[in-house]
Amino acid sequence: MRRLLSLAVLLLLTQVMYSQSKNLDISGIVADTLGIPLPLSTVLLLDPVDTTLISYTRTEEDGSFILKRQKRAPALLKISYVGFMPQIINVNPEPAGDVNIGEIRLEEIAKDLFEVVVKAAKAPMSIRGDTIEYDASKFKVAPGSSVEDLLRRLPGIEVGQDGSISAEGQSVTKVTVDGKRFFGNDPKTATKNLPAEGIKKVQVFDEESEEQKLTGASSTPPEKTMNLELKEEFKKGGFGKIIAGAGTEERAEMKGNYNKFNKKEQFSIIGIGNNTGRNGLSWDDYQDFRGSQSFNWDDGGDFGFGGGGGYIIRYGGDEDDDDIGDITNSFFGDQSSGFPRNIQGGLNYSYAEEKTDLNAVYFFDRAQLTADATRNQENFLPDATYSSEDVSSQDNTNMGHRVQFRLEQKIDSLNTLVFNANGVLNQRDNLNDGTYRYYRSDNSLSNYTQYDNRFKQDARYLTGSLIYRKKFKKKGRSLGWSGAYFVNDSDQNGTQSSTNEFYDNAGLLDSTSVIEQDIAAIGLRQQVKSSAMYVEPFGKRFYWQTFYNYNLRLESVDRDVADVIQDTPSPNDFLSRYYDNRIDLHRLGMSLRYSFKGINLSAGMARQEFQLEGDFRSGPSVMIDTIIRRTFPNWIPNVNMSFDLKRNRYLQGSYTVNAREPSMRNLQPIVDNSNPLFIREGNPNLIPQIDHNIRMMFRQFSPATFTNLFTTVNYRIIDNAFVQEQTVDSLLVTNSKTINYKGGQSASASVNYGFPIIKNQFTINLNYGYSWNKRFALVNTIENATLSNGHWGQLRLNITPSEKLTLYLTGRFNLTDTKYSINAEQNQTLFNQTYSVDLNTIVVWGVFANVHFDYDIYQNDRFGFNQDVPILSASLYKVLFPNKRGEIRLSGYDLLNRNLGVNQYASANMVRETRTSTLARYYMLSFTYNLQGIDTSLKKGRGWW
Amino acid sequence: MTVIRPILFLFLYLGSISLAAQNISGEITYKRTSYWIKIMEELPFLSQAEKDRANLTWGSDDGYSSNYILRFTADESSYTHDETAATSDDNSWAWRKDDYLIYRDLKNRRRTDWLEMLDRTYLVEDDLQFPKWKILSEIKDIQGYVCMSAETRDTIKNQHIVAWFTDEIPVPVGPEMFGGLPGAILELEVNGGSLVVTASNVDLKPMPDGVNLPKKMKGKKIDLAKYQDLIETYLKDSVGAERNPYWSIRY
Repeated sequence: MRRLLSLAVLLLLTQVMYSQSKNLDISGIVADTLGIPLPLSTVLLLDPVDTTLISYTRTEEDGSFILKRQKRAPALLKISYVGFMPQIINVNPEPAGDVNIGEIRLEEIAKDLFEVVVKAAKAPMSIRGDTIEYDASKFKVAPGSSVEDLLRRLPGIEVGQDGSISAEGQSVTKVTVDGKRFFGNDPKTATKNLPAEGIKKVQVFDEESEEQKLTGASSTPPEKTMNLELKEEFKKGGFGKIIAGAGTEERAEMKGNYNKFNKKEQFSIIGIGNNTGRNGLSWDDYQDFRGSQSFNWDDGGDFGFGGGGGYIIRYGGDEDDDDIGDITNSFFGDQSSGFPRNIQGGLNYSYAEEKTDLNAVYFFDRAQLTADATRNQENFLPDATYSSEDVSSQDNTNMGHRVQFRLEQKIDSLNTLVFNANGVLNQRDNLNDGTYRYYRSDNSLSNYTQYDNRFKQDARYLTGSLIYRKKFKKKGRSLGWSGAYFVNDSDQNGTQSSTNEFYDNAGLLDSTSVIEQDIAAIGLRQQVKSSAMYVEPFGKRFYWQTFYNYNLRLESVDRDVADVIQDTPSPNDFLSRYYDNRIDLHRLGMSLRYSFKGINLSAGMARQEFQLEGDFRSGPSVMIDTIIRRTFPNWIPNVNMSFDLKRNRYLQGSYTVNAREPSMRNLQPIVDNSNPLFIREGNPNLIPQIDHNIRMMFRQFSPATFTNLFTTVNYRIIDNAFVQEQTVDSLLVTNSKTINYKGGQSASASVNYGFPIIKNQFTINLNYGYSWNKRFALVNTIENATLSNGHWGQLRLNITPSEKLTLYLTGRFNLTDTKYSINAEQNQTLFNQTYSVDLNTIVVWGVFANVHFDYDIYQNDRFGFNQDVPILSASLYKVLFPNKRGEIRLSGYDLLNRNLGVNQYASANMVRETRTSTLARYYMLSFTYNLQGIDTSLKKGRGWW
Repeated sequence: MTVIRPILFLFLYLGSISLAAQNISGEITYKRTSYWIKIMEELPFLSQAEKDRANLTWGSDDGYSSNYILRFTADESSYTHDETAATSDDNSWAWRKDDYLIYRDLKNRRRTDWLEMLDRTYLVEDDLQFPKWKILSEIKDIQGYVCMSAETRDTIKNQHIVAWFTDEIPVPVGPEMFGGLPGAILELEVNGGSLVVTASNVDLKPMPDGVNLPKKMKGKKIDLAKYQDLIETYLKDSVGAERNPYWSIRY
């Protein structure tokens, strides 16, 4: 007890001594201007150098406060009370003793100012000494208003009839913008002419007059000055670049773009011309061109299974040109074969404000490709093989004008409308001539054909769609409706001429057929679509989703074929074809979804029905000779699972079913012998092919160790598969017909694993994939099952030791083993390997170098085929001008001159190899001027940020 | 008597900073909005072209928002996800919320941060130290409370933080890991608006059960220095790899 007592005394003593030497108490009383105490005012003790908070307290009922045991050093005392001007007091303690500030009287902030600025407009108010400043952007004025209109709305400021300004009763004699004097002495010049939208802050303060500055006293009151601070985003932006290059082999390229934008508007222009096939347009260029319109995820109105309903169902159509109006097509895909010549250009304009989002685009595109190709093909029959050789030359031109318009209007926070309209004018001009040679298995010539086909098409496309989305007050309930119309009309003109010579086994000419035809076709396709979806939540984790899709497709084609005999055309009723098709699809579906804490499960079922109706005639004079009416009902199940396991691990799985309806062309019970060597026959008994797909995916990423793992497994089984039934006669004429047959199956799996050996300097990425595929064909009534097993693997090394050197190495193989049931000696193994090296470095004197080497090796033992294609390209470049805005570059493409345009393809009963004459070695000198500066980073594939 | 006096004195000494905290308690709901494009602007490895492109494409988009709840009494506070709003905007998807709860024991001056980052859940336990705040001169209204402003710097993440606190709620609590001001923080603005956490509802009410911590808060126990070291190393590695670090840790 005694010990404790003495300890307490010691403690007390040290406390007292400590306080006397170093510490002190600061006390005072806070009151208003009338001397009435202000209880619970906040008293802050701040460091006078940087206003760092040291301590704080609040006043008692009687307005008094005490800050105990503070450091004996100069400090600031800041006292604040809601609605009063805070006061800052300097505290300069004496060497000893406490500090008593005495009574501090706070002045009330002009009531209207405080109520209007802080309470009503919720604008931050800043008080520095006696200057009050507030955020003008929080005071709403009509668009297009001047600063004067804005000032009229601000509390404490009055604007007279003549535009003169006064603040707190005193007239404002000077107006500055961003602290700088606006031209002229009249303050009204600035306030009348500047737009209110551009103003961020309005500050009013007393500025000492010249006299005051000199003498410190003045006979006149201080001048009121107003400063207008401009918004950051009101300052506009713009960027652009231009690249021009000239090369050997008569090669040249040019590319330019410019963007101008501010908070509300975006304008961009782009133009490209080249004859290298390397248009150099990437996703980045697309994004630069389209700006805020690069991604419009919610524009799919085909509601179906899945969450928000953006699921797109695709079906039908022999041609897939509904996308022809899509500008993205122009931005991707360099041509690697033939001799291309391209011109593209476009304009993009967007306007966005709170509720309205508008975009308009024009794009022009002209692509020409000339190419000479040799195609060798070997076909396998159950008892024999035959081969063919096709030497052709083509000259194709495609030209289009595209216009796109999009408007998104938010009606209110729950209702949104999206309107889209696209129009395309397209012109195609194709020229294709050459020779065919067919050889029997003993290599004797059986057929020799010379052909010359010309074809021109004019097409117009127009699409319009409207999507309405509604949310409800009840969270999770939503409604969607969409309607769309698509129309395409086209006219084609062409001539087909060929001379076919057939030879018998002895090599003697058996017969000759000459075909000289004029073809004229008019087509009209229309599509009307409408979908609706409703989602109702129940419980906190379940959603019941119902959707309905309707789709009507109308196709009408008048195709006139005339045989030209001695320059006189006479209609060929056998090949001429007039038809009108109508395809209706109804789909009604429901699904139940569970969504909670990273687990998303859904299961659903839809009933869909295709109704096909077709009328066919052979020419305008012929009566309707065929009518087809078919209805195909199907059940379509759908299961989706997704799990967010902890630690960046995700597992997903799905089971989906697709029903593909037979194409009208395959349903027509007529014989098409437009190619005398390949005769097609329709089959009115076809029913839809059903694909069942099962997918699993697992992905893991570790941000701490920078490793990632990605695995997928897919399995597909096909019911009622569309299979070709072919018979080949002794003259090697093929008759082909599509039938439903037992389906094939396929399975695939892949794994991708990436990890660093040395963090940020040496990374390895490994890929392996396996695929298995079984499919059938009927050749001369015998079932031919083709079984293929494929393995592919890739190793990629990213070596990035420094800012001055990066090296990327890739090795890849692809092994496909194909076995045929009817002709085992045709079994073959394709082995392709690709090695690539990409080296980037700084050579000397700030000259950068890039070397890219691709080495492709193709092997096929069955045909003794062994080919290697090494393509080496390199460029040297130097950055010029301040801000790295210029670049001069010397590039050499295919330095080894080995680009051969080889393509190999093997299917159930044939193998084909195509060689296309292609642009090979050339050199190019190019110059770039980029307002954003040239990116000199040597690291590539930054990927997603 | 001589025993009691120094103890009383000591009590006063300790109490000077949390004086007048009274019996105030309640729940504050915050809307936490991050603006990806502004965060990208800060990444040193991106070229001007990449920044312009992102700004052009997404610059006018709304930020990504989610709701958090701060429960507090005069002695403690907890800040965590608002579980009543756990689905995406169109309710088509439910994300898993990461493990995240920031607990402050104001009485015993201890911190407990239960958070998931870089592949695992950590439990950061250490003494509670508040950042050094500089008091600024602006005032504004948030949810009916007049707030004063203060700023500080996070030297590890290189962030400039502006906090708006109200002395009408005299408890030194706040959202994220911030606190230590003479009143509850109702708004935070990081790096000029890359991240904004603002109170959407203030409900002052008795909290008889305190802040009601969840029963299981398992995680690898580390101290504050270790936590800061983990963040620092990861930020350095990510910038070296030219990858946005804020996909995997909180901004």
